[in-house]
Amino acid sequence: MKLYDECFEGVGEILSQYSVKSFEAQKYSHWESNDKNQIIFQSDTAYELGGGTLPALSSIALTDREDFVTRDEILLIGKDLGEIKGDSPFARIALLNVNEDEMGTGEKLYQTIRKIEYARYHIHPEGYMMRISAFTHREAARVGKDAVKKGLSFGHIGRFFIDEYKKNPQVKAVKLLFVTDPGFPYDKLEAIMKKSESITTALDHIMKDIRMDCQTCSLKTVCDEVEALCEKDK
Amino acid sequence: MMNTADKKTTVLAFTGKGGVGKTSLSAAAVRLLSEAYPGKKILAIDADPAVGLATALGVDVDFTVDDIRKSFVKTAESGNTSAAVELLGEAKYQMFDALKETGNVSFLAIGRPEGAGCYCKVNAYLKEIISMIAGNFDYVVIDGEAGIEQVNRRVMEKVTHLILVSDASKKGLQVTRTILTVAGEMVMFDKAGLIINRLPDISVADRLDTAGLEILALIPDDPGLAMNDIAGDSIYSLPGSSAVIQGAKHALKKLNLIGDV
Repeated sequence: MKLYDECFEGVGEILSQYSVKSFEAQKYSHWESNDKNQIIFQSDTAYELGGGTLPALSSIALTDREDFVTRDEILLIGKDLGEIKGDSPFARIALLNVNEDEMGTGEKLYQTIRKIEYARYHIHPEGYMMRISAFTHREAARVGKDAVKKGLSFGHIGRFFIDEYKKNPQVKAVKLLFVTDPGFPYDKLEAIMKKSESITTALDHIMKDIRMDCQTCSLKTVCDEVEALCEKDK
Repeated sequence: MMNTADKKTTVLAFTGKGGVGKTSLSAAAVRLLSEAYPGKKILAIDADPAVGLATALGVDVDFTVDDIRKSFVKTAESGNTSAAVELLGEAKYQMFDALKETGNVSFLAIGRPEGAGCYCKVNAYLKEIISMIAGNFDYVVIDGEAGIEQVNRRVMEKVTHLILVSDASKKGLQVTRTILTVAGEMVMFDKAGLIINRLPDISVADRLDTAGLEILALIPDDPGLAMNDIAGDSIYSLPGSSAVIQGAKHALKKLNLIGDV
């Protein structure tokens, strides 16, 4: 499965230029989960990750190459939740090693990718309220004052994500990257993320075999690439 | 933080004929509840297309639930199809932009009703999110459109306290009876009561046909409120002794929602 390999390489290149903190996923197993309707009010909010007009990026990319994602890993560039003092730019990238044989092809492949991606809608750590906009591709989060006091860390949040992603039998290992560094090149990351999303969208586009003028379609370049990669994978 | 499943939210809906003072009474109820319970969370929902509750509470509204509905419809019309889980996430995301938080009171404006076309699915998503948000509050006060069925269709399925508001006119009281009948058929409330507002003289109350409804308050015409409205001032500018505040307090006490404050 080579569809997203270019994205992996792009993320890897950016990461190589930054100091990355690593969390041992197994050490962060205990943090209470709230119900899906949890609201953290402004008065109870310590700060917002990706609040207002600050970057609030999220993306997912999948590969069958084990050298890209060797084991479950939580990485951070920037400050951890207990160190952040005000609204902060934010990015969350999930790089997943999947068993290609179980991903399916065609429409099933697209649906499997989306199902794995939707894991983020099922994660509700106490004191961490995600705000996800599929329309604007933003993923922000309000972090509660109490949760910060109790020691909530990206290690805990990452653990929630890893556990949820791995409920899908196709997922073998998860490398999860959080970024809060204000000096990080979010625009470069955003370009990679857009590419990743357009690959997934193109998969659906191709599989639905929409009859339209490809010459005028904005997805044409990506579709051509995806079709070529799908052919290689066969 | 409490799970919403553990929380029992008290939902008050003020309904009645147009022009009888629902908005002022809704605003007064919000003020009284926030003063009586500083530690509790109160949500004020303006379900009247005129968005008068915002002015009455001194809130600037720049984004309504109707704006969210429009963005959903626009996205759908542009050919962008989304899964249900994404739409619910999106509705939740945008609803927080529409929610104005000031102290222990939050405000949400529903905006104008939908135009031509069937947006049942969109409305269902939005209503789902409103209910979800409401579940995080201790008290929800809805300034309704004329009938409870609009509140039911656009805001939430059920209220705990249906507060019918009328003036002394025969038409006003007739409207409250109709609202009560419809609400009763749809089993949409636990308790109901009537506030008769803008009475030219309290003594006329004896001559009114209230169809056996419990009278929660009789409120004389309040020139101070009229001057407040003319100035565009919020309910917080009115003295606690004003007729509308006293009337609302009486009604909330009768419903056991506040004590002697």
